[in-house]
Amino acid sequence: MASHSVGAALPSEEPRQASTSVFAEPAWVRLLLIVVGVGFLGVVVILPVALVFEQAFALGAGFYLDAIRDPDTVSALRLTLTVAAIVVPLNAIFGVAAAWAITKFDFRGKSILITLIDLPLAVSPVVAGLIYVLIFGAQGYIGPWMREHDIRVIFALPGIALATTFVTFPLVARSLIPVMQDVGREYEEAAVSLGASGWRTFWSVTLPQAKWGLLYGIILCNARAMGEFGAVAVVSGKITGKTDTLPLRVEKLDKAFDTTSAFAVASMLVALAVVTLVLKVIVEWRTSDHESGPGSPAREHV
Amino acid sequence: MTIEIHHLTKQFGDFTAVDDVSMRVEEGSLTALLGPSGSGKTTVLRMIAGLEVPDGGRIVVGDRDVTDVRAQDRNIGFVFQQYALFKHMRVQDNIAFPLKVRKWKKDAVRERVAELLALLRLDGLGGRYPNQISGGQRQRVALARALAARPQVLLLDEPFSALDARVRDELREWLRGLHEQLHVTSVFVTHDQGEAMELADEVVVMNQGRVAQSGTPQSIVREPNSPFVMNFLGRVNELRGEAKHGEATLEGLRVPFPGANGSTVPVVGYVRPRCLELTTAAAAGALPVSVVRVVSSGDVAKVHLVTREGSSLVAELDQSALDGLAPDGGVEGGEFHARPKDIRVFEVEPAVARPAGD
Repeated sequence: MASHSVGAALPSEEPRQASTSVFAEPAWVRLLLIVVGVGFLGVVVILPVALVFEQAFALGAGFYLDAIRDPDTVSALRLTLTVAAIVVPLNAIFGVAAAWAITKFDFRGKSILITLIDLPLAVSPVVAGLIYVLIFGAQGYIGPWMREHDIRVIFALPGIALATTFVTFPLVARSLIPVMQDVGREYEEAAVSLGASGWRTFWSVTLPQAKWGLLYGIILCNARAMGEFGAVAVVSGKITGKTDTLPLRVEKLDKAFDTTSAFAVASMLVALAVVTLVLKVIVEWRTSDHESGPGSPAREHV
Repeated sequence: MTIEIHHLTKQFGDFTAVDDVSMRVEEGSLTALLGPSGSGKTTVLRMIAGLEVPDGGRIVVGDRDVTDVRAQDRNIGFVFQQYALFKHMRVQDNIAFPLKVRKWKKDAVRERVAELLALLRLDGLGGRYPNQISGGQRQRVALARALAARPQVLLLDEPFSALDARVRDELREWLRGLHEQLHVTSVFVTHDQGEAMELADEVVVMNQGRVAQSGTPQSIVREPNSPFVMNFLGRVNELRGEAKHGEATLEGLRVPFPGANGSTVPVVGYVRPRCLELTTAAAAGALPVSVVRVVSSGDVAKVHLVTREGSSLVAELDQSALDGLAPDGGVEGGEFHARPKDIRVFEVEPAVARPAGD
């Protein structure tokens, strides 16, 4: 990780550079900033996460294993992973298409599209859930017709996936747009002048250069899809063993005063997040060995 | 392949970037499009490549009209100013890109890439990434990539502007040698007249979207056809005056000017600093001047002069010639006579008092 862009952009790499640069601050300022940064992180992030695991194992490893092997919990885990597996690819495709349209073309209604992409970030997730109940619910616009044809959306997987998609769809587009704007037209023009079709240019030149933005967007999208509570709570109906996702399961166990089981299931969510982060680091480490990401200053090795 | 351009025009909003440009690039030649920024030279180059769509006119490469052919189907090599190397591909993959796009067989690709790496003195660098090589090497990779699919035409946009001066001179000579070896019809854009004169067989000087003059470097240096070209090719002294009956009078200096008939027209004469001779004695065709200042840089001295009518002139003399004028060393403040060895006189156009671009 020592010699490449993404690594170099991390704060952890900074102190060595800072000591030789003209921006070198007095030692006490650096110390203060590090203490504040690390301290804040400790209180707000590390301590609660540690507490989750501490509470989860409060009644011993045996109890913990029983809690996570509970059939209802396993079903919730399966549903959460299924939803993520549907939502993340969907939003990745949408995000790439939207970012491509916004950064490469000028068209009518472009600013409206940009605003609409941001809408889910501005709307409360509960509202997002209610929108789908209003459309597909028993008293909704097309709910009765769907019931006649035995199509279930609300209180079923499709509803949960839809609500989660709504809540997470800005994340990929939002992380891609600035990166794709940065890449610049020149590379695409080069590819085209070398004989590549538009499609080939996109796959071989545009997307690889924007892959950090895409990866970051997918990780954010995945994390949010697995952790979403509000919107899912409205549409899922919380049928134990059927339409409970992990976050809903945690809440249910907590409400039933089964605190230790709640923390055990919560620790699974944390573990999923950690897996995501580890994946991210591995991908970064593998691909950034030889190259710098877009936008980073090119290094001269003469 | 020859390139023929017929009445090409291009507007960007209200700005006319290219205005009725026609030119012909001979097969196997190295042609420079020379002009100040905003003269439309890069736009012409980009239209030849198909990266810009002309508003009017035709572009013919060889015997094929490519005006409506897409950029990817033109088979024209283009070297970008900042090279536009794909950062996520190794040097060899950059060079192989146009071949893979054309579905060459693996062996053929490998062979061609090796050939180009050798030709462009990039041996051993095939496995590096673009950010692991020097600026000069990057430029050669960009060239190799542009040449890989054996294009009919090679276009280069300001090929040396991103390099420092020492590398630039070296690469210039080398590029000239490469062109003589390959004989691919090549066009490059530059704002540096020295670069154009040194490298090109043919130079097309552009100004405000139009062709100001075209020809061999020698013909353009010897016979600039307009005040703009005169000014753009280097520093000039201006002498203003009037012309009548085939003769111009510039601050008392009489010069033949065949263009003038019975009516008086305002004219301006241009003299290069190298073409001003200083003498102690009055001579025919010489102006009395006084020396304001002498700036010597080794062999050559710049002598700043002022005429009787107050015009400032600069003469460039060999230091030895200057020493001959005043053996005791006191040239500054002295009175001399300046004789232009070569003077070019143009009628002053009412609209363009002073040409742009200098």
